[in-house]
Amino acid sequence: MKIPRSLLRLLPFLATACLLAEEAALPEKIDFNRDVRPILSENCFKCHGFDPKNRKGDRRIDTREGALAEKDGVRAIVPGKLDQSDLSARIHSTDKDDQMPPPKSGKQITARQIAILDKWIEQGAPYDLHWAFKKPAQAPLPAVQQAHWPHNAIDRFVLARLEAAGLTPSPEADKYTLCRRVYLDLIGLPPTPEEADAFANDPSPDAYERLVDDLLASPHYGERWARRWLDLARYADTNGYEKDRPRSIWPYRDWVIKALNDGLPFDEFTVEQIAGDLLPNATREQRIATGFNRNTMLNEEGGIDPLEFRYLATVDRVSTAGTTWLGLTVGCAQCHTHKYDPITQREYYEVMASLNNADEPEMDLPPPDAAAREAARKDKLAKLIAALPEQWPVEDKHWTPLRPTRVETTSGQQPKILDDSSALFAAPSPEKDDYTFILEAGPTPISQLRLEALTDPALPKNGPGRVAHGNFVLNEIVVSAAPKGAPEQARLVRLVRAEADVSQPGFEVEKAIDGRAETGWAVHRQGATLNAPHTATFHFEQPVGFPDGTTLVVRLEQRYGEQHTIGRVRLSVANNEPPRPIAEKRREAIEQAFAKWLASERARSVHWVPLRPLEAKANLPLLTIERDNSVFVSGDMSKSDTYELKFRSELRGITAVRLEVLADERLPKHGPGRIFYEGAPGDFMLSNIDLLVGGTKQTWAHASHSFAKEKFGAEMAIDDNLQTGWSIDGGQGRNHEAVFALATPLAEAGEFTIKMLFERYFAAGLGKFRISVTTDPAAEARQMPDEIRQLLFVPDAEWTAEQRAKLREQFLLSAPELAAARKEIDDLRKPAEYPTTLVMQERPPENPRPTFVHNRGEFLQPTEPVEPGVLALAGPLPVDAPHNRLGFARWLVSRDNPLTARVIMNRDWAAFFGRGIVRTLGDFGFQGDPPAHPELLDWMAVEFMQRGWSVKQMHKLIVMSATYRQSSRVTPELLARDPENKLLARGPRFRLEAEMVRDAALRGSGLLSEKMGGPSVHPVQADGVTEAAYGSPKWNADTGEDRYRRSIYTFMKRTAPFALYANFDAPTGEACLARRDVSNTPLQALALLNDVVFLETARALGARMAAQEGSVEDRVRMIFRHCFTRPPTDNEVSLLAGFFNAQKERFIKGDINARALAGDGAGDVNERAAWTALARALWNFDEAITRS
Amino acid sequence: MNPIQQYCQHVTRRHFLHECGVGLGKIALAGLLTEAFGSTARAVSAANSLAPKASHFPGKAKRVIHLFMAGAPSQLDLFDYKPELAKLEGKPLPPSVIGGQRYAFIRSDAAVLGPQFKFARHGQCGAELSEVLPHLAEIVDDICLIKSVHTGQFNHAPAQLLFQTGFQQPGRPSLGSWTLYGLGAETQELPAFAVMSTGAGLSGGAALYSSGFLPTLYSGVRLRTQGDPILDVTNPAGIDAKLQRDTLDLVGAFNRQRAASDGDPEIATRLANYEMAFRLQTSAPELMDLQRESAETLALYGCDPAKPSFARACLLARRMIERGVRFVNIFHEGWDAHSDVSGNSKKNCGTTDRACAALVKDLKQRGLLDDTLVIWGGEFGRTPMVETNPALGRALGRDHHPQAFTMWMAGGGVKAGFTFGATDEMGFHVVENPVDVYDLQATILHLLGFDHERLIYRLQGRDFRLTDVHGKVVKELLA
Repeated sequence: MKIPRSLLRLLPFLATACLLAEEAALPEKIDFNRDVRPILSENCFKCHGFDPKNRKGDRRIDTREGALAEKDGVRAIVPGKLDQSDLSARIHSTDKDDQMPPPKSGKQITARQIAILDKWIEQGAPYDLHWAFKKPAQAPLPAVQQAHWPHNAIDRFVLARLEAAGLTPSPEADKYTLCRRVYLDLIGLPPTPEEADAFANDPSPDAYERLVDDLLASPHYGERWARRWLDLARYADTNGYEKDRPRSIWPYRDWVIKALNDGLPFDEFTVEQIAGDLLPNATREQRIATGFNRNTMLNEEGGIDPLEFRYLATVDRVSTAGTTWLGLTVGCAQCHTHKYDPITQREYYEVMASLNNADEPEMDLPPPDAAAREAARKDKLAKLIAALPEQWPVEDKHWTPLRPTRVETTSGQQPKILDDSSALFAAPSPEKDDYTFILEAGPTPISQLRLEALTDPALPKNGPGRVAHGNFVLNEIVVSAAPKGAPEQARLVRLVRAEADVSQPGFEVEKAIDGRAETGWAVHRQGATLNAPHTATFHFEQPVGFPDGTTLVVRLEQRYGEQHTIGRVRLSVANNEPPRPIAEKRREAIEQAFAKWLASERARSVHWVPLRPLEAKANLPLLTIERDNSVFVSGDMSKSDTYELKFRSELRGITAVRLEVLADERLPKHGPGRIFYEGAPGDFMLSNIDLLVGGTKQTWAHASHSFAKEKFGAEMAIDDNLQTGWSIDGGQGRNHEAVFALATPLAEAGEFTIKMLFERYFAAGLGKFRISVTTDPAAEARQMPDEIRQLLFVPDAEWTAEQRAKLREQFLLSAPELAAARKEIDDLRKPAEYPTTLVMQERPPENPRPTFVHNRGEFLQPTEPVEPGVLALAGPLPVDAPHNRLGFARWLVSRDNPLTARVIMNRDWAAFFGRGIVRTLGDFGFQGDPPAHPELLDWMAVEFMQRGWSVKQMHKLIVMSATYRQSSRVTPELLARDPENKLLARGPRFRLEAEMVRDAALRGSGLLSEKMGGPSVHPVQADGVTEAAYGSPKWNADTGEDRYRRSIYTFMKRTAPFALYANFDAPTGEACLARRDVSNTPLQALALLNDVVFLETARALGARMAAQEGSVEDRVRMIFRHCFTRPPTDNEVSLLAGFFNAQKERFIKGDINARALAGDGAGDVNERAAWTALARALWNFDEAITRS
Repeated sequence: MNPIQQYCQHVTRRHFLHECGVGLGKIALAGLLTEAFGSTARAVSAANSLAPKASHFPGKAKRVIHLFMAGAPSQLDLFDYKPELAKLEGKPLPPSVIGGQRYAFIRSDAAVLGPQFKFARHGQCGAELSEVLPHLAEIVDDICLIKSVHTGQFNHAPAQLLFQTGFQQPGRPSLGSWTLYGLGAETQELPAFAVMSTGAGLSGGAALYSSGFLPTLYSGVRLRTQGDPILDVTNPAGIDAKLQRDTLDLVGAFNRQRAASDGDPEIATRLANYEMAFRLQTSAPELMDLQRESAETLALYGCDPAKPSFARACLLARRMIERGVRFVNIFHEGWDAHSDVSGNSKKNCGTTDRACAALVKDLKQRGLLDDTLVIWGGEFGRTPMVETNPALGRALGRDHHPQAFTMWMAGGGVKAGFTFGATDEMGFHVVENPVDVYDLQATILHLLGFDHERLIYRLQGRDFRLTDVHGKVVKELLA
């Protein structure tokens, strides 16, 4: 690569200006923290440091005692005596066996570093506590020469450094640049031209301060700063790993935004996120805040061990807390004591213990008007139920079934005539058959004939047909009538109309009276109509009736073949008599049905005796026996959970066991199951249930359930196949029951054990249940409230009116006749569903989760147990703090913690300046960079705490400083002297964060929606971005307002991040991120040029410009300002106008398709297209995406 | 006007590119400037560059094509013939063999399932292959079979991540990213680390080819099977070549002006990136245009140039390699045979076997195989035991098996016609020359010219590497 000559000319200047560290003179007084520790940490501590396991030659030099200690007559350091100090000898040595650091370590110590160490030993080898582990104190503000420059304390520290280095600060940035800068920094959006002008044209001395105050009060401030916090919180809207299913935790995101907008002091902000649930009388908001630690990933891949991934999530929580608040690489101590920093492996697990004693439920967030809605729902339900009886179906005709006096068939087969006058034809069916029924009716004229094709257990699949699947084809029905006893006078009855409850497409019922034998009526259509009774009604042209009675001959022709004949037939007739009043008939029908229902339910009623377990235990979960004899299950769960319950019953001859599975708000989706990943939340899988007496398994006869997922009935829990079981998916949030009947009743009263196994390729335990027994031989599962069951045992006469009404309501709610009418009621009776969010909830004292040290950090290698604790290096637990998560949180923001305030101030500083005072935002340990302005950092840290941890006040202090307001123009001298702008002789200049790139374009184009909060949205992105993720999910972009919401509201899918943001270095939410990379790539160029977001914003801005009055130049000024805030120079205007005019001409000429670029819309399309092309170009200017 | 301003203003695009050469990213002027500005700046920029870099020692492999058989193929039905399993079929394995292994879907007492296909020996080396790999059989003397690979993960996403990034959770750089970080890019026209995906969506997601904590310019760039081959590479409708050129010239003019006034070297990089983007817009369609390939070549791969397929991805991989692309990942997800392992193997071999063999043949006949490493394999193996579960509608499948599986490599300095490692009679455990995932990673880096313990990136005070604290180079595999 050739170096351009112009640059070569620069080189001598550069070399002198930028004095290589290596050649700089040694400091007069060696400072341990500044000069020595970095050398020792990099080269020595790995083998002679804090970690005893890796310590070589039993020599440590991370402490002065260690370094001075004599070992085999050798001392690493003898203060003031270089020639007696082994350390000096070793670093000077060139002998491979003697030399330190050893050549094979790959480390090399420079001559200057050797000189520093020597000089330090000569000066007495004083050690000092690592700067970051000392409590910060505010140094007096340094004196400066340019006393007029500083606006506040920050500037004094900065200027003192600059003056010492012989540099002068840069002039203040011009008003437009400053305005754009402070807008982007504080609210993440550029100003509108009007807003910028208002500031630029305000001559008052406090104009800038008022602007800053306005921005700090803007609701967009929270949106801007929340995004940075969410990087640390590893926020995302999906669970991560393979399945990466969506989760609902956006209320946490909204909490962060609101907390920042409300100015919640940072110490409270911290405590609520770590341990909000543990605060006295924790509010809903404080519980939402604990979502911080729920942002960990959740592996839902089939077959994972949930406890392993829970452990990994906890590992993540420890290291996230370490990075976020302490700025330490705490995570390194997971596998071994930290190689550099004084963090033992045991301490690491003590921190883990602090965070590890929580359950991780999903919290319901009923809206504020939930109670009113609930009341309205109940009200509506009551009204609908009250109206139910009116929908009881009543026939407006009186049908009289006719009992056949004779039946003839072409096959010769004779049916069995049943009690209800129907004729049952046995299987197997002949290929074809005609049935002829001879029926005797009374004298009343007959106008209709009804045919019922009925089901019967004797038929294949219950019929009604005799073919294997239960269908039939009635080709023709032929009816003739004769006066009773005069068959010779028989006449054909003309059938003019036919109706049926169900007809198969192509086999409509009319085809049974169309006179064509090859067509006919059948009943198989979508919606599972087969295997149910069906009815066809045939209307006579004229009523037929004879004074002495009528003989009807009905022939059913069934010639379709393949056994398509009807299995059970009943024929009824009706006349046209005026009906009785409907209401009366209805009342009668309901009362009849109710009486029948009561009789049948009474007959089926079983006395269940609930049993209180003597003992309830499980492999891992905690079983708690509650007051109502139910058992509640909590704690951790595995893929194979066994519950074992001991009972004693005084009953002799127990015939069956009832397992009630009960809904409870504490369970996922309110239970009754505990499934929270992979399967359907709130479901369970009872693979097997056993009853043991004296250790002997009893045999089950059969099982029934009140509700089950298809193919997962209760009988699957007694089939000895562990792969199958009972599950209630679809019935979450409600109570159900299963009844298991014993093959032989238990002869003796006494003790027995029930064992339940819940096994699946995911954890599938049951969350709440109750066991009852009975001696009734006919016990079966039923869907019925307990109260009703009890009433059924009470004689009618003893019912109160209210009780009777309840029974009647239960009847109405279960009567099959009203199934269709109950649709709305059934929906309303479903448990209300609310938005939810993920929270932490400390475990009850009776079920603490133990935490262990894990050998080499391995999940499967727990060693000794540990208690909750903190890291000694950052001070002790505050005296009044509890030893749990809350105590840990208080410790993080204790005034005695040397790290937190520094870490937070440093990170926020980096947001404004592109670089932290400590460059390594996530590492304040021995290996981190030392602060460029240590006194400034300490001053701000103390100020932060003194100002009540007010983030907004500190932000104001920063943006009010002269340091912040400097122009960011880089002179070659400055670039040479201080390429990274460590000394801050100029203003910061860096590319916008990913979300701001999009938000700025949305605002500039006028498309931005300012709607705040709520579930995450799906803005437009190119098709197929998500296709490479598991299951190739589609990204269905929102339309309307949600398409243009601020980027913080974009749905974050971990395995397929929003492409535009990923392109601009946004994180994926998989791990805590203290600092984003700031890359500059060709793919970013392609995105700005061609991404659909920028096309849409360019079109919108183009249309706006086309609709404006004024010359091209005027409008160029306008569009320029929408994109860059500042007014353009004349030269810039003419360049842009030239581009616009040239393109417009090409659009007009038709060289390029204007409609294709500009899209549909009002106004001149060429004009719009040309403005669109210009807007598209503008998004690509460095100025558009750089905050300068 | 100072010299930097002069420099920024005077260089034309052409001159700029000619003088400096541009990779995908931040180099050229920024690099030059930092070159001059001393070690700190140099360190910052070195971590952030795609300029070609020297490896630790000369590597045999210059480029890699990784055919990732996601979902985990059944080694027992493709490579590792175990007649003993046929004898044991229907019986459980002794608990002493299974040990404490946890399974995703089966119980450890599940019955054994015998090999589903006939096996035969092929080539001069006499390697044994299943009948469903007829095309691989033709090139068996060019490949190196490793029958003793094992892993510590038994779920898809963590195992895929471990294989690609050396860690079972997302967030670390992928093999391709490390390669790019170590070697830089040769091409200035195409993404140097390209990713294609055929079959179903990936369990491990985008983290499988992400740059993790390395700068994003080392990330894999996905070549899409529909729409734009590279996201946003095509101009919107209504933008023709001239308008695009005019736009870029306008952008360039303003950016140069700003570079002059503000003096930020980052702007020079941005200028270069726009030119690079412009060239990508030409080179990407040219790459995707398979009409230029001969009928013989298309037939060799079994590739319909108009339809996305595994074969097409393989052919594109060869074209990319020819154009200087450093690392190509082809993910073929679909081997997760929890049911009907026989049908699954037939189907997936039907999709991939011909093209895999064609790729090796094609590279060889073009003289590219010597310095191109081809890697074939999944994230773990499959159990000798059967997975049958009527409740899940599964029968005659195999579950996940981390203890032993087979992979193959070809070219790039690997022994040809060589079989390494062996498993026990039941194909359950490795009994000879175990190779764990980290060993394989160390070996791949070695082939590229790197000491895996020295290819490091410092993050928050710690040196990270692909193999974490594990891995040793498997010398026996080296030619």
